[in-house]
Amino acid sequence: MIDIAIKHYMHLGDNSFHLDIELNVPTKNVTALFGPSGAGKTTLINVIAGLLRPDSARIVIDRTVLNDTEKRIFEPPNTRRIGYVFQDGRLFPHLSVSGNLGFGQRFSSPVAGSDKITFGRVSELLRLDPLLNRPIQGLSGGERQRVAIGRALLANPRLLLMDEPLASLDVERKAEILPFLEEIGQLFGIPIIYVSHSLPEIRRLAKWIAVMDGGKISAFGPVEQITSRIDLAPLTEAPGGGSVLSGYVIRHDEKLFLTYLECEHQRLIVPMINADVGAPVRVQVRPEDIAISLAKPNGLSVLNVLAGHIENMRDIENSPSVDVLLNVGDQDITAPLWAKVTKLAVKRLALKKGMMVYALIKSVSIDRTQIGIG
Amino acid sequence: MFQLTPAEIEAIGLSLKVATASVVCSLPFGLLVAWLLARKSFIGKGLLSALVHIPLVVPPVVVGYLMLILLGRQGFVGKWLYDSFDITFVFDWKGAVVAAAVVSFPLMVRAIQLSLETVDPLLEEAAGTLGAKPAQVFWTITMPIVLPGVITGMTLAFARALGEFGATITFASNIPGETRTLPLALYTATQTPGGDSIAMRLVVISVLLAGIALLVSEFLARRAHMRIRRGYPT
Repeated sequence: MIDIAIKHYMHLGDNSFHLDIELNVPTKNVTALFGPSGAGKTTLINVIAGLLRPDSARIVIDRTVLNDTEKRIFEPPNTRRIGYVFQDGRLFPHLSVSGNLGFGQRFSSPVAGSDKITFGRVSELLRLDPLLNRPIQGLSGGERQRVAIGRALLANPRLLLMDEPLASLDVERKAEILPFLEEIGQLFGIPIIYVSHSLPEIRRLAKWIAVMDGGKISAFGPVEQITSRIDLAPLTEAPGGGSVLSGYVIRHDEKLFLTYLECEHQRLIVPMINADVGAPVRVQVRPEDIAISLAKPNGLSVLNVLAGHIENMRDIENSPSVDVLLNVGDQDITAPLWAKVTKLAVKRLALKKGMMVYALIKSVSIDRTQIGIG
Repeated sequence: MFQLTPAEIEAIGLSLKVATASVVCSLPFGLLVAWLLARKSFIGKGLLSALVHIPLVVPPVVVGYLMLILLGRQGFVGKWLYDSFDITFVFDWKGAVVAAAVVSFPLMVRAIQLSLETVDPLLEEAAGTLGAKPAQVFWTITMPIVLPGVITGMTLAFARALGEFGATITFASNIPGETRTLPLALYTATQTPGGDSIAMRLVVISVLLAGIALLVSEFLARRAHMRIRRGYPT
């Protein structure tokens, strides 16, 4: 467990900013730090990394105390063993790619389990071999971030902080890096705190999410749960937003190019993905792609029919739509799922809170970018 | 052909010795002061900056005279140095070194400071998160990046030390083989009846020496530059 408690007061010009954080992050998987600009996300991870000395803090990772103001403990950044991938990469201009990668190895002290992260493995994972002898100046944005990630990994961190590592990249470069990020946490077993204001990115990468606003944590929990909460909708709603269903691969149908998933005890058929049978997956479902039916449909082309009940409804003013929060799955294992239907449909079907319904999702409406593996 | 006389060889050797010693001795202080001025904010920073730059704006003779008052055998600091360590600067080549170092110091500091200001502190921060201690960050990140600036500063200081005249003659005097560097030898020749040809030869030697120093530093700075290639995009 990573226990974080921080109080810090800052003056930024005429404004003052108060950071007041209490957060317990699991030492497994990716935890996303989400929130609008100015919420204090970067400030928070700078405090965790030791780059900023807060007024008062207690930061403990698996019983190792990094900062405890009361006991006058403040580990400097170089002894914390916390990797940091900066938004702008911050590669060293006087060193080549291999020099930058080696820098992390050179100064990190070996620790138990560090044999997992070798130059060879990192270089292979991030496809850095062809770049090794290149100077930093000739690299593309995507290549730079891959080097930055490799450099941070090779310093053997106990925790990896990533401050919007994809923010400076265009869509294609993002698509180039995302698969690497997905693999890192799993392969090396390093917890990651990932700062982002892109929900699709978070849905794809993260298991946990902490929503930040005005220097405070306004919610923390599993991504599926938090991103479906009605009260957080103003914060978590984003273009192309929606809900996330998690499950695992049951089998592939290579002839029909489909993959069968089990999500919350129900079957979900999606376009074929490149993942092993049994691999955990997360599927992002857009509210517009969901239809609601009162009865189990017959003679319909839609492949995915998820049973559930209506948890909540919210009218959208000056629009024909209603946001419907469904809870799909068995009684004990359910997942929140946002659907968007018309007010007319709500009226005709007489939809009400607590009603049993079926959510219909067309398989072809889910594309590969909405499916995250791991 | 151009055959050097023993007196000329003596003056060249002395000039090189004094200039080299002054650059070597002032380099650590130059780095420290440049670093303080570029990176730290403290009370009296303006005063330190002014103090360092004084030799640049006042006549060298004034600097030499002030040093004589301060470091001369009867001087405030000089007396103590002589009594406790038997160190004396006046009439001694070490005096010429001190005079050259003081006068060339602002040039060295200026070049290093400007170079330090171009180093992004965020890079040093990044190095810290990778496990490097502050001293290791300085030697592996900061130093290599500012190296061309340090070389430039050393060259400027060296050239200035080679040409130093006013402070040296005032403070350390003009003694053959001890403090008579090239400029002082040149001055002596011009004050001697029929010394024109001697003076001319010394002029040629001075120009050659300065030219060689410039070429060497240019070569070194270029090599350092090549390894760094400034202006990395963010």
